[in-house]
Amino acid sequence: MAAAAEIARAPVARLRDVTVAYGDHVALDGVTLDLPAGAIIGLIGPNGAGKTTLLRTLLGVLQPAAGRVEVRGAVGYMPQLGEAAWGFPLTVLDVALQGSYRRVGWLRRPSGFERAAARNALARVGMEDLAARQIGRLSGGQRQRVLLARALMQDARLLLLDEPLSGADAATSAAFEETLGRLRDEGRTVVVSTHDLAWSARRCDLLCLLSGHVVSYGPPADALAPARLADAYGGELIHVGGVRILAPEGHHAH
Amino acid sequence: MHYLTDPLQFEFMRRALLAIVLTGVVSGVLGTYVVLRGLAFIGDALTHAVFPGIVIAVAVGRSILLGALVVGIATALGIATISRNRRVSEDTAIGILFAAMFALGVVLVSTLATYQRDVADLLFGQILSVSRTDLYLAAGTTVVALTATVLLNKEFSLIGFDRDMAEAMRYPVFVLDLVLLGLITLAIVVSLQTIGNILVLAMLVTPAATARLLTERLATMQALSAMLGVAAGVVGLYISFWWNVASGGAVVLTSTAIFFAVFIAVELAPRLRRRDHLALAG
Repeated sequence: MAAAAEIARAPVARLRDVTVAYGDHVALDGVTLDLPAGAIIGLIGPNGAGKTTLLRTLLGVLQPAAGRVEVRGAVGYMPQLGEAAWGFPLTVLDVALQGSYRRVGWLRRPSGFERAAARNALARVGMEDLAARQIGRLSGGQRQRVLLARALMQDARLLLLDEPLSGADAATSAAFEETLGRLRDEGRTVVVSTHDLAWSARRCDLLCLLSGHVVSYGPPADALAPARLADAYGGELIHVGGVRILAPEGHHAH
Repeated sequence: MHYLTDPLQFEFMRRALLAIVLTGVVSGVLGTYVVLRGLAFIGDALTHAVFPGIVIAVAVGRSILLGALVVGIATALGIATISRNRRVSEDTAIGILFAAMFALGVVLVSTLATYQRDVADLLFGQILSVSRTDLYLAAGTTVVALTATVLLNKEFSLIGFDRDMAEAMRYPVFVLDLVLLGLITLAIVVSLQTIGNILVLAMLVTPAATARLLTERLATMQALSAMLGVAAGVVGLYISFWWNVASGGAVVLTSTAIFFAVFIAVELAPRLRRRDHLALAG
């Protein structure tokens, strides 16, 4: 039992001194993080802070120039809205099914079992009634819910959601909140990148404040201490709920 | 009925019909990806790039299909490799390579004066001289291209819809792009003899674009596109036979006519329905 508890508590992902660069530009510098199991982790920071870079590093799409990335098991992903070819002749169900493709494997088609799982995932985000609709005919919020269902279909221990709530409507936000709670109950780890500090402070177990490096990482109250915020955002507009405020100038230590 | 059956007395017409059916099917199915992924320019480039391969094949007396295939796949590889450099966009890489390959073909033709007639046939299509060997090669190529497309359809559609997600799911996106370009090259090669180098692009684009107007499902679009390609091919071939006009041009113009007929019907249908509603309400 002790061993099982130990495994459950062991982090699903570990980064040690990870540096990622695009050519000469260093996007992430010396990042060290443990992502524990069963936690919702908010990834915050100004534009260009390296949030998407960190997600892509965890996915293995970007290789660090230095440092070590260890991830246990498969990683699920929900990309930002707007990057897909929405005019593609695919139904909502087809898109949800894409999450199963790696499991289904090469040269095979998704089985009836996978189709049932996809319908189930769509039901979890309140989209089962629109399963047969062409994906481009949905509203922005509905598309976000389908992308979330597709990420659920990946059945991963670690889920990475890139700006899942930007521009989301009320129904989408509600489906999203409920799904997050359920994923945590299932012992999964969810990393959410967001611009909304108030939402992340309210809903996340841990926050990682980025600004090219880790400014702070811990429970929201610690991670969002005024001095830390000023370090990360100094003099920039930040989002708190729907409101934008001006962060005070910080003492840039770097 | 003799309008339909008379041409079939001739061996060359029976072969031509089989060849045009193969062309319609393989171009129709792969054309869906050309249309959905906006690959018309790269498709055009590949059709021109295979030209030197054809010239060399004619010169050394080997199969033109083989010559086109080797050069086409080499060009697809070159385009994909060069466009990985961030300072050279894919459009630019295509522009450089396809012009260079076509120029190479032109230079080769000019040194081989005696072959100019054969080469002209390839530029404009010479469907009435399809040999039994050509037919076997075209059939084999079609089977390979269709099988590969069916087996990789879910990966191709994922990459086409959401490249970012395909990368995140750790698919070898670059390799799969190359495979798709290779399959499009196969479709071009099958169509070369029937339609001719210059007009092949129309068979890759027009039936698929027509099918897209009629359906929102990928599999349906692929099936419809193949059927529309075959229909245009067969009708065009009969027109070519009875009116004695170039087969490639007749097929492409038939396909274009179908596109516009469908386009107008799809545009007008909702308006007519609305007017009926108003009339009933009034």
